[in-house]
Amino acid sequence: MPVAYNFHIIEDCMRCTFREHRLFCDLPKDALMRLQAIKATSIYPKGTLLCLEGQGARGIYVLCTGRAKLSTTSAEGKSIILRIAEPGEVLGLTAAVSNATYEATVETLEPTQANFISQSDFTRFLQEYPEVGMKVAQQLTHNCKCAYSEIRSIGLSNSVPERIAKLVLNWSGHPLHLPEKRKSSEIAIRVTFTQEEIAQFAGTSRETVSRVLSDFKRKGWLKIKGATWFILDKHALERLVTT
Amino acid sequence: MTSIDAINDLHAGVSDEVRAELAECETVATVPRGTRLVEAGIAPSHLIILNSGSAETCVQANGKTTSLGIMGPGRVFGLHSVLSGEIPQTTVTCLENCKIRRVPREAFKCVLDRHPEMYIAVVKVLSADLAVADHLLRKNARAFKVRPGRRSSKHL
Repeated sequence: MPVAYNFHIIEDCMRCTFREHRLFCDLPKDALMRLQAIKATSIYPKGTLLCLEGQGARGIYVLCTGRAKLSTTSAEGKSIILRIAEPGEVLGLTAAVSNATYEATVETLEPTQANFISQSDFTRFLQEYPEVGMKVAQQLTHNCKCAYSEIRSIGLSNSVPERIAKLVLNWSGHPLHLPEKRKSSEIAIRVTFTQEEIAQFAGTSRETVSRVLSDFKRKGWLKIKGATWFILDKHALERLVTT
Repeated sequence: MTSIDAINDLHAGVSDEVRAELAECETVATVPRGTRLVEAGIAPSHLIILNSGSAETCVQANGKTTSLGIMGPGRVFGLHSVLSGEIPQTTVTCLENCKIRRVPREAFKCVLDRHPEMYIAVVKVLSADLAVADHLLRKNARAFKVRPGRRSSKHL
């Protein structure tokens, strides 16, 4: 029977097939049962704001399926994407643990299932199950590592072409496997971001993104067919990136 | 209290019993200005707690340095590496003579294994570190000059 959005809801964490592959979710049975009791599962359409930067923390969200962008607002009031959260990630951790405000705005990029746990329930959960504390510590360590890496990248990248090349190289880590035969050196990736969103990633304007990508295409580094991009010369992009 | 001001203090969040066990394995030392408490790329052998003085945390790439901020008494350094086993990405340097407490890495992990309730305090320390990094990330991102242009949501 077809399901709405072609979306399969994971109601029961105990039966989730992704659990063992997710940092936070791979918990002992008793902790999972408790998690099941305190979480509220919801499906959110694309464009939903799960957290708003500056809003007092109400709790955390565990992304079950779908992705979300974390963004901040520039001095000019433009949105700047900090990073993309993938399934399995826990959002709002820092704010919930520190009883502070959310550090970034979290917006879903596609139909998303997220489990919300209120701050008070999450704090009790941490206190009652030390294994949860360990998982949260691992997640925070991972987040810190990503943040430091991003600081080095944002603060030290010299040019917009370099930043965009770096984005493309990051995305090449998740290539598409296409049925038709292609050259072994070509890497196909799926890019569903708009030019405006790519501009938000790179801290520039949509026009500059368009110009840089046209330049990459003209040089034979990239081919774009709708949402499928073909990286034709990865080495050229790597040479452009100095950090 | 904003997240950037959150107190990063391991001792404040643990019981007297745990504090006593940590004290048994700690060594106290005074180190001069310029001492590197943590060095990027080198696995630390100790967890460091700053008793007095101040230290600066920096990240480096291609010879350029970005400061994450100046930390004061109570701050804990090296926790990420001690927990994850990965080498640190940051360097922490004393800006003046500092009094520090050093807890050997393995001794700290033993105390943590015996008292897993410590993870609450550990999580708070890590959260505070992440809040500092996120704050700088937002500050750097906001420093971009975004030129106004026609908005378009066309896919490429």
